[in-house]
Amino acid sequence: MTWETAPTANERSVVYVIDDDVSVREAVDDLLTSVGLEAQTFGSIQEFLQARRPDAPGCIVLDVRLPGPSGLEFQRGMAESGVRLPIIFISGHGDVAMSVRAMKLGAVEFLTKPLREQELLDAIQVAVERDRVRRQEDGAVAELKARFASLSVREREVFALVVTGRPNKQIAAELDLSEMTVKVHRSQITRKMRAKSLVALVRMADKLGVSDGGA
Amino acid sequence: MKRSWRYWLVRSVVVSAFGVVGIVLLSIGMLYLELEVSPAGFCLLIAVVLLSLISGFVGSVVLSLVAVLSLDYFFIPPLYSLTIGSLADVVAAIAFLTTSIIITGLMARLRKIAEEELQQTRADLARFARVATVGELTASIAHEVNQPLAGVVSSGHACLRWLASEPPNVEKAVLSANRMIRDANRASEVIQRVRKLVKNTPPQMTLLNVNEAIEEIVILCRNEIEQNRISLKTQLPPDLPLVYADRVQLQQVFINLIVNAIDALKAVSAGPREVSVTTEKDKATGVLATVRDSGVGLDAEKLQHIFEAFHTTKSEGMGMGLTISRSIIEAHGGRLWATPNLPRGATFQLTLLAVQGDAS
Repeated sequence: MTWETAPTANERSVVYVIDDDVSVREAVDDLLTSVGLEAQTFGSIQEFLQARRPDAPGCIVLDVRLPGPSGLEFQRGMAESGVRLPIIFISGHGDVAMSVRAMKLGAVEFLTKPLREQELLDAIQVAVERDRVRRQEDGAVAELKARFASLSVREREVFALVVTGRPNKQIAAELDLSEMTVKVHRSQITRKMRAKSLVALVRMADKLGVSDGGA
Repeated sequence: MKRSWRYWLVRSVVVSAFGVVGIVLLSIGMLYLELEVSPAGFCLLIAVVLLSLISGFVGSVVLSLVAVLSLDYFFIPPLYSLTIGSLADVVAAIAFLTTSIIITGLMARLRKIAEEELQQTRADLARFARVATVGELTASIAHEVNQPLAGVVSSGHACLRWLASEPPNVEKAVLSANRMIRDANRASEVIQRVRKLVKNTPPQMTLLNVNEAIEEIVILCRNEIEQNRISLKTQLPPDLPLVYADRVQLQQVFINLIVNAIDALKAVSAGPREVSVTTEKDKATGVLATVRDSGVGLDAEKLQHIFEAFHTTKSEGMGMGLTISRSIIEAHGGRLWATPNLPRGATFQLTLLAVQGDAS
């Protein structure tokens, strides 16, 4: 795949380059800028963690070997530092064992220096796309949670039973309500959750992890 | 080790003094045995040759003269006088003198050749050890060359992109190209430094700044240090006096000490992993350099032997590193010694004679 202009001109994305070597750092920064990507460079993990990151999709281009905690260590403990960006590793040596470990932990790519331009840019595109999807999903779940939170206690009980596929009559019996009341609750739920159908509602319940245990 | 002229002078004087007494006693002994002139002359000649094996050239000449005089005094008529009776006696005396001087001269020359060969062998051995040590750093050096080259490649790509954009961004392209030049030079410097270390050049004494020599070495070892997750601290004060030394040999000593420190830390899994390299002004000699590590360390028993040839604590070691390092420092008029660290590790310190006046 070729990439002559930034494909995400409409949406901002940031590539964080972490390498202790100034030659590599500056050159990669320049290369990314020349293809229209926004890059931020850091000499160490600490520097990166201390920096304010914009709220935009992105990825990290990370040197395996760094003074202080290494790139691989950072990857392992990344969740704790609240960083969820996809990682592209760059390394001076093609260490197979190391690259396997990195890939198992979810790295997008493991590239050796000198970097092949196209490989790097392709990897960045994949990584940024992955982050974008992840952010969208995260956003969607957060939205659903907000909607779910707007339901009343009784509505949540009804919701839990509705998504199991039980008819209104049965729900009414289980919750000791009239069938009419269940119907009203049900329409409220569908409206508040903005679900177009029962199937949509079931999917939402899946994402939210709601089960009939709530009854 | 090269000995000073004073040593040779004292040795010549002592050997000559004992030699003179010996020759006179030998002559008196031969007189009692009633030897003829010729056998007595041969005996004296052999005595002179043997003595010149252990005395210097000057001593040999002195001894030859004494032998001729005592031959004349005891054996050439008129006896018990230094007067020469006939032309034949003069010729005999001259022949004796010439022979003994030629032989002693040859001995001195042989000794010199042997010494030069020893020097050469020492230099070869030092270089061999140096190449071996640099060899241990191959991965680190390769990394140190690869990093700037990686920069050159990426900057090259960037430069092409700036030129290919519509309209071409020449300003940015120039910046990229300048960075390529800078990084390529950086790679080249590393290679030159390594070449100097492994090239077979005779020792060259120059005025040099120990700190600069150390900094160059630290760059070559840097990756090896990082790879072993060691933190290296250097404390190289700028007001260090200059020393008169061979740069390559001095760097060899520091590489050796730093690589030893790294090796000592490889075996350690817990605790701080630190190597520190410091220099300071030393009142007595001039410069004191210290390489300290928090590695496995040395007990008193090991300390006694580490400077001995072929003594090694490493599985792949040759056991020559510290021996050669010490001989290099001593040839520079300094000292190299080791002490254990508390709670762990070892400290190696060396002194170097400073040239009068501070670094400019």
